Amino acid sequence: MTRALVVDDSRAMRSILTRILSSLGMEVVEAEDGQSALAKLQQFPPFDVALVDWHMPGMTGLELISDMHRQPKWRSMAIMMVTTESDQSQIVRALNAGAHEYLVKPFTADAVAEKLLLLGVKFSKGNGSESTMGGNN
Amino acid sequence: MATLLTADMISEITLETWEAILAEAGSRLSPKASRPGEEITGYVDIAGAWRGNIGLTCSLAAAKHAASIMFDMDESELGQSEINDAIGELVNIVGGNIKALLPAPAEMSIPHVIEGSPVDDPDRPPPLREVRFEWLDELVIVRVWMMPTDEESSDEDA
Repeated sequence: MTRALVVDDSRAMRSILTRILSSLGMEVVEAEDGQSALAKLQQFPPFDVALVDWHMPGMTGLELISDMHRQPKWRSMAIMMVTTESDQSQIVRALNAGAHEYLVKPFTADAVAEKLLLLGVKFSKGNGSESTMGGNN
Repeated sequence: MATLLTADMISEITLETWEAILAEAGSRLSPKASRPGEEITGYVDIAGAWRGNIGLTCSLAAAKHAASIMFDMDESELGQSEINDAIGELVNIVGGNIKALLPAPAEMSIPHVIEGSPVDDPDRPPPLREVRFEWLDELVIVRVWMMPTDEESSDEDA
């Protein structure tokens, strides 16, 4: 089963993303901030994908993905920034920091699935069949 | 520069946010409302090349309904923290997309939520923009306040 880490300081947003990812047959672990995400990354078996908010108290999402990218053991994990920041310059900053994909809030469940496809993350569609396409490198 | 931010732009962003996040309610946000009910407000602050606040005010009933959809919980199970979190995330999304239309670079704060309406605050100036909506027979208002940037303030002082 594909494993996802959802990092967002908003419980409401974590709840929405968890429902979408669970409906795609994924196992989801939530973290409320950057420090908690790093702890979950150490504590749990490797995740296939991390969905990371930008604006969080303490460690920002940008700082978190920079940290994650520096660790060789987490380099195979796909990283998607999920944020309201839509300026081109901010997208470039996130990609330079280590994000592989970028999803602007508000989003639909279809948009999440589309981005997962672009990342090559496996998930099951409604009919139980698996989807995957391309890679994230 | 900030006058380029029109009420139509704010309306479009808010409608898109409601459609994406709260579509399950089966009722669209409609751009009209004169009913009372300014009971809870979420704010984000923007600082940088543009400085100001964005506020989302609604009735407690609307806030509870939004939280119920976002948390997938019955309204009777919701506490104040869930309601505040939901309004905070909605203003975060609406505010972030409005910020994208304003002069850059600028940083947006983490959302904060208070009881009541900005109009209850006598020190708060009138908003630059105010857009009213109705959602499930309840009031939703998005307001944008502009404040002088540090540079503009120092020009005035000189």
